Amino acid sequence: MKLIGTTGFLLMVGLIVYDNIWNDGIIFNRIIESYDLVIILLNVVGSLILIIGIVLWFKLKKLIQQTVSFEDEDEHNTNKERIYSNITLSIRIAFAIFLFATATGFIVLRDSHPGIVFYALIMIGIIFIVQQGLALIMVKMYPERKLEEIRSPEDLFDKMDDGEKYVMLKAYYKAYNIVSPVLSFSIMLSALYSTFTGISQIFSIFFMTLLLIAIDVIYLKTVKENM
Amino acid sequence: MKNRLKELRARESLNQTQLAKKAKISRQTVSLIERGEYMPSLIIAVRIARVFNEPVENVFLFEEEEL
Repeated sequence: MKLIGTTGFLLMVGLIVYDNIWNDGIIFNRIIESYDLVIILLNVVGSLILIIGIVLWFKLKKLIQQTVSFEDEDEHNTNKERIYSNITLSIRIAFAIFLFATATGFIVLRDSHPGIVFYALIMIGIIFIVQQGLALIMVKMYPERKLEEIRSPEDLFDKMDDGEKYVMLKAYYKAYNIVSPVLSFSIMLSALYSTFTGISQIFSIFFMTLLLIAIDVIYLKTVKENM
Repeated sequence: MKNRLKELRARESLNQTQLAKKAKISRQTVSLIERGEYMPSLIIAVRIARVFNEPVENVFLFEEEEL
């Protein structure tokens, strides 16, 4: 993972430096010139991922209604939990793609191709609706846990047992260890990009730095408070 | 730490889902404990032991060097 990340970072640096010093920014300009195609492609990919999520959702609904034998119950429940996490993953990825398409599309295409930017924005709205439905499915999956009483993320955390909290801790620790270096790399990349293209990234560098500080402060403060 | 969860479940004819309901924990936690990937808290260990009517130390087995 670290090797892939470092290679990706070096490739991006190489591409920015090469394109702007020896290539007169041709690659970058071509991407911007055909940015409508980039956003259309992202809309298609995002929609496909969302459709996969919705198909899985129907599959899960069907599984929830099924009654199974004693021998198959554990496998059946494991299957339901795996499908649920695949649905969540598809929705999260689709959301990130449409968010990127909306944000960058708005910058580059708001006058020339507003329709494709609007499509990405509408899809974000649909994702919010799908997410509400996903919470209802969770309630149906675990009727004995009274998940309908959950009003905040803290309530959800309190409803988890120790084993679930342990799995969550492992996942968050992994994510924390990835987010911090990736943000640092992103800040350096943005600085390089600003230097070579003359397009200022100071605003995003400022917010990425704030985010980096917030993540580290929240993490270390929580650790310190529990010492 | 080893545990006898699988063996005791078989003895009581319980699957993971049923044990989880009886011990008021999630099936995922039962599975994690059974695979030895998670050491349960004292309260969960006691709840599981009560389901099997066994003392905790008969369900969860410690090696001498672990203590």
